[in-house]
Amino acid sequence: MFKKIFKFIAGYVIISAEGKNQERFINMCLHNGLDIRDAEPYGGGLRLKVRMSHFKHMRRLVRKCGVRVRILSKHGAAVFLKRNRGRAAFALCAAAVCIFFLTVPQYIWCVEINGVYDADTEEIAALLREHGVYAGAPKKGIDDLYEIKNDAVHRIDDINWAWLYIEGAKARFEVQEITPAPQIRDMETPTDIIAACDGVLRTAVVKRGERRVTSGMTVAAGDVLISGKVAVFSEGYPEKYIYVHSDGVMTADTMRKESDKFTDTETLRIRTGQSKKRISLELFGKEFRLFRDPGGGYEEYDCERKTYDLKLPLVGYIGISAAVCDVYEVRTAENRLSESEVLARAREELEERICRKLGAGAVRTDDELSYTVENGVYSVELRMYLRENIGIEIPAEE
Amino acid sequence: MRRLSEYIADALGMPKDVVMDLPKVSVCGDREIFVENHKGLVEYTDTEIRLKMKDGMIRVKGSGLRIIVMEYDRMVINGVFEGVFYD
Repeated sequence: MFKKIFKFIAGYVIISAEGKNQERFINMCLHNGLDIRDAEPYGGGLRLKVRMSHFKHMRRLVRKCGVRVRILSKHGAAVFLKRNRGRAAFALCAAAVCIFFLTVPQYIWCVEINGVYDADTEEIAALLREHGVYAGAPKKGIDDLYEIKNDAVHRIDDINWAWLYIEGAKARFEVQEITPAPQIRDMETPTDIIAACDGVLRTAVVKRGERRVTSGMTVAAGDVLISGKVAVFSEGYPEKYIYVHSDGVMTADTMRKESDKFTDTETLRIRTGQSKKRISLELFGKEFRLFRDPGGGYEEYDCERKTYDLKLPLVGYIGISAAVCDVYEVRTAENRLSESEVLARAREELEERICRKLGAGAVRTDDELSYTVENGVYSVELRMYLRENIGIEIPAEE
Repeated sequence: MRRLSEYIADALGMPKDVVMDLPKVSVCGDREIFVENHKGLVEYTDTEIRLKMKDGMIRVKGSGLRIIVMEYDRMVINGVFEGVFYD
């Protein structure tokens, strides 16, 4: 690779050698240390690549061998410069381009923060700005990466680990957020266990505390199932109680219901097949639209955006991106749903609402969907019969 | 009859191409041949290349033969080869 680059810089000529003693000519070139490459038959003779400086030494050998040498073409940086010697504007432009590509990567033009879900992106951006990382900031002014990492981890509570990657003119700040540790169950505070909802108890296992209910009993929401206030005295003696953290499993048959109104129409967005491309340039952190109308003149449209970063070898991203937006024309249409479709959608949504309220381990035993229709509006109610642990802890009564 | 240089090469475990100046031909599939210690090009067409060696000749037959690298004692030939023959 480097050899090829040096050869291009030095320049080379492609020549043809014709005559009787071609092989002798080549052997003599090799003996004289001339660099010959890519020899191949060409017409009645040979075609060779010779370094520009070595070509001058060939004249003597050509006379000796009696071959006829002709220059087919000249290549390389030396030839290019020689041809364009008189063009000052061209040289200036070339120099300007070189300076531009050397200068631009010395600054940060894009700051990307990845891995943020709960943490405040604005807070992280402000922290990075304090450490000299912002669009347009010189790379020299960026603080030590370890310092940035430590500052981010100490100052922002949600961050567990972070690191700043400098890729050309782009600063990529990767964040790892803290995964909350599971809470340690408090077994010391005195608590009662009460019913979270109405139901019929099927099993009532008491591990700690005083039992207030038995299996088969019907309980209402708020009823105490296990009391943390435990009597420790015999009849005829003064009353004495201890308070414990109640524990037990209260499995009951329960019924939960949700209702809502659903219409029998839905709005569809259908692509008409017409599409346009809208290109915008992102230059050093600022977006420039090449088209005035981002919607392509369509009343209703969907947009799919792709961004292409300009990256140079060895330098990387240089702060120039092209954003191509495929704009698809869409038309909206009202779609009438059948009764079964409306009910299926209603069931799915109501089920989801009920399930959000349930604890772990709940099992559905049955369900019932009832509805009424009035002017295309369905009033739907879903009753879900469950077997679940209905006990919830509250602080024990004194 | 073995030569003195061959005895020396065997006794000292030295490569024969260095001690005896023998040609070294490395063939890479049917696409590339490296020839070392050649003594010059004798004939070159796109179907046959003949190279002079210390004792004899090496003939490379094939199609679309090109000499990519040519140095004083080293040569790299490219093309589709049918065979390498010692004449």
